[in-house]
Amino acid sequence: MPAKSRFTRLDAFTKTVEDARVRTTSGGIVTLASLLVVVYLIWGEWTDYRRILVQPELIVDKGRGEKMEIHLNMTFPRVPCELLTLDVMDVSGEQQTGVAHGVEKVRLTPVAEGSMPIERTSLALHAQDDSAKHMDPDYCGSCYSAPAPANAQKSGCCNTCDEVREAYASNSWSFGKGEGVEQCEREGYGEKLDAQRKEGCRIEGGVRVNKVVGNFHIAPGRSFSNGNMHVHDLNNYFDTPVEGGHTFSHEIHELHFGPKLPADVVDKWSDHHHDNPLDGTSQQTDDPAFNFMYFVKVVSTSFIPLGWDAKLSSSIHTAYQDIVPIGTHGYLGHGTIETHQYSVTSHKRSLRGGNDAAEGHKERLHARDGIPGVFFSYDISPMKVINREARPKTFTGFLTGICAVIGGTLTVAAAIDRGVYEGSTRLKKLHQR
Amino acid sequence: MAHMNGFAKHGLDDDSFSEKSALSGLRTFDAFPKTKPSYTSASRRGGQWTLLVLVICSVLTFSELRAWWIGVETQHFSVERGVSHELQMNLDIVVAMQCKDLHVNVQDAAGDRILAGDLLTKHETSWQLWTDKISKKRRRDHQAYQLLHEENAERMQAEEEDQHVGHVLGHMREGGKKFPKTPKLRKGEHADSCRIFGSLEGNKVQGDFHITARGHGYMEWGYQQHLDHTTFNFSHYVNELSFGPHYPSLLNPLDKTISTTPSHFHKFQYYLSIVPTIFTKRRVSTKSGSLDPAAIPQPPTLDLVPVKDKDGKEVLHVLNQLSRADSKTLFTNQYAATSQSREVPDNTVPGIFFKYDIEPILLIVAEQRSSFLALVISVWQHYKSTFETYGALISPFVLLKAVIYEFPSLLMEKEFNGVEYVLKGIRLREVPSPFCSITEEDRTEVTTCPHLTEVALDAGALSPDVMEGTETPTWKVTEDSQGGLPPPHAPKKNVYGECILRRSRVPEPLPPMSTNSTGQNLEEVAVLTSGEDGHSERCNISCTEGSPVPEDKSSAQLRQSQVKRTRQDSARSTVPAKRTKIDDDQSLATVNMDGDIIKEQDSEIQINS
Repeated sequence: MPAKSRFTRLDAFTKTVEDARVRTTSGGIVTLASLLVVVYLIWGEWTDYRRILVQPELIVDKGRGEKMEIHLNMTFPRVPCELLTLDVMDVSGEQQTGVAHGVEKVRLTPVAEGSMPIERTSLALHAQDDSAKHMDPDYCGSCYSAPAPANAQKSGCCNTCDEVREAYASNSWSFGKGEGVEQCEREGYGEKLDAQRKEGCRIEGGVRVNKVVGNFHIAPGRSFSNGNMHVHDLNNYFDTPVEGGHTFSHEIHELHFGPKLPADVVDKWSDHHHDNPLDGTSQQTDDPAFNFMYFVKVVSTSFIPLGWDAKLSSSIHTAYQDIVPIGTHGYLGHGTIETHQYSVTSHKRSLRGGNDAAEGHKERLHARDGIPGVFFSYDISPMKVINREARPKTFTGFLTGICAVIGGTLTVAAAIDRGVYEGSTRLKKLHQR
Repeated sequence: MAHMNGFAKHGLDDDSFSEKSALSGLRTFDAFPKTKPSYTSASRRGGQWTLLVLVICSVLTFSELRAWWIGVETQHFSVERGVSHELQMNLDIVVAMQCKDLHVNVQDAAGDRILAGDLLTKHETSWQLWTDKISKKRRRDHQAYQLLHEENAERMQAEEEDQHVGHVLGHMREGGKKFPKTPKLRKGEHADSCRIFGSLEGNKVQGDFHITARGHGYMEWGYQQHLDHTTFNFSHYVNELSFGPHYPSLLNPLDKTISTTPSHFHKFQYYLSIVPTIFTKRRVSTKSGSLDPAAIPQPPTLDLVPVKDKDGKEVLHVLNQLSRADSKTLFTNQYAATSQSREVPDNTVPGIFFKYDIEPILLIVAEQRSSFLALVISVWQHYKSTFETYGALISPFVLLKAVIYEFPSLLMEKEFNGVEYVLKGIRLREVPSPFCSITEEDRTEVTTCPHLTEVALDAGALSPDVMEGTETPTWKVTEDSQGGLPPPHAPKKNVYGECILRRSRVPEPLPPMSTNSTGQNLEEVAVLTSGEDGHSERCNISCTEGSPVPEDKSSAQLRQSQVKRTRQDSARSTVPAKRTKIDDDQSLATVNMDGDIIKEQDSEIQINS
């Protein structure tokens, strides 16, 4: 007896002898159909295996010493650029100093003329005007009995109109248009302002701030810190020749914290609604003394694509976080993006206080006084969202899937075929009787 | 009758009708060859197993259906979209001070003060009345009212339940958005307490809701009498404190809590972190299970897009057009509460303070049922896996049995228990299947159990599996279970001839090996079994050289050959036990393999005989 036949007896997968098998046409059809199904399902498995999913994770934000960029694009159709001030403050109400920024003011023609852009100037954020540089070095302008600002170009002097304004403000005097103030008349401050009175202004650009709780606001007039008080010189705002006065009607074209996602990234990630809630919103008022507030809660969000290199990201983050130009912060290479989402509550009130009867809440008493303008106060959430790209299936998972597809389909097909066969046999027997 | 017989034989025979059809070629693709019924065996034990498997299957089906019906709960999160404005607060609290002495206000980060006292309903009531009511409730149901620091398993369970969609939506359907009525004062009782209840809308910003005594803590408009400090008592029962739409039956952490103090100057502080939550039975996730932001139902108080009113003026504060009230979704705000309370010196404002802040991350608890198709597939998979497990359990069992029974025979050469036929160089063996081990009770299965499991060519050692397509002519062996005509087969290449194995039961006991000769015709009979009931199983092998052509009987040469019976023990009822060594009768086999000798025995007989 040949040796191999000894082991045939151990075969747990006994085959049916060819002669004991019955092949049928229906079986052939079922086989071919099931093959097609198998091919289709394997294709499905393949696409499933190649599919990239974005898995959102919620973690506690453990970053420290981070910076955040605020990107802003807002139009104020009824306030001229000369009047607008942008202040960025941290939680204690102190102005954030030394922040990198790239904000521009765009002068816009009056609303009646269609609010077309006229001129684009870079906005000086808490910066000094250097318009008096050409002066005689010994020149010491009078501060008109107000104390000279501490940070004046020449200590004890008010060489520029701005310095006089600051000196006035620090003494809590109103400044007005600067009539009779030599420095301002020289600089043509009043005329400059009056020429722009009917214009609007667009503020666009980004500010890089420390990632701490804070606020920023766009309010009229020069701002000063007077002790614990944050003061704006509102004289020029309220005292205006323009009919109806200036108002803080505004339209927010864009407001985002951190970089905006590129369009292809937005398309790629299923989260199409990662839009910023304030984009494209606007609020109107006819009251000059009106205050708009936005309470923003910022949630750090990062997008980590496939092929993310942790080392590269962190090295870029460490090395360039402070020196990259505004607008490029948060891009960490390989498409990794560190940005923020936010939720927002809006609130508005008249500076005259009063209740909210118009909105149906007469029990709601607004605070009185304050500064007209648009205030954003932002809070940083301790949670962080990570949208991580991942392939949900491993290669072995894919192989297992294929086996399951083949096995499952053949099982079903065998059952169908068996049913057809048995059915026809029964039918045959029925006809025999 | 003859016609009927013909129909019976060929009428619906798959072979006969399909050959005519154009699709007959498809037959070759049939990957699922069916075993002829005569080759399948059914045993009682197999039947029992099948029943067990069916029971398991039905249990699985039931549980699967139940799980499908209940659905799966998933938690998602998303940063809240849209521009929010307002937050509804619902409060029902009893304070042990007279209504006229209490101030209820909200001061929020937006700088607004909400005169909640004007909006909420104040009812004069008696502290003793509520104390009695609550202690009565506590006696009946310990979880009804709780001290702040108290921990009660039932209460915790009730709170836990209120985080699940089914339960929460059930509460919503219970309806009743009203606060319960204030119980009437009993006789002799005077109103010494105040029940403050109702809903109010505040700004959705960080804020402080507080209840203080008149004349303390606020710069009042106009003159108000300074309140005597001895009337201060900020003991309170919180019946309800919730945010968002009012659903009284939802249990929040501060609902039904008791805080009492004997002191006049006491400050109760609660710190609440509010988490906007959506409970929904709508589908909010994509196929892959991640959140589909577009599918999140939006609360009606959120502005997603600025809307213009009739005059073309843009109004932000409108009810969200995109949200539809439906019974499948509930917007609420859960909160986490911490608290502290302490006695304070005279220069501090006593009172009850709720400081709240709103979290930016929206929690979405979604319960969804998978599609019915998915249910069907998963049930099917259960069936499949059950049967496969059954098979997988069986096959090692078979293997084990085979090893146990066959291993000794592997060690001891040539030991073989079974029937072996050697015919024209073809070794035919009947090996009893381990599953059909024949015991006394299984006697009835004798005829079906012994399978022709091994067909081997001794000379050339060709396996019958490679019968087709090989150069060496082989014998095709078929078993004719009906004992009738061999089925018509097309002549096959390389088939030396065809052997038909017939079995029959003989009513009388036969000697183990017998040779019947009727005249010139020699009929060789192997007795498979010699039963004690007097029956014998007879095996008759007749071989035809070439292909049998039934129409031309004269050309059909039926050869009957000597069937060598190598089994020595005829009592197969105890198969493994009574193994004996088979005679190595090689000489006989050689004789049989020798064509000349067989030729001598050749004789032409009638097929039907």
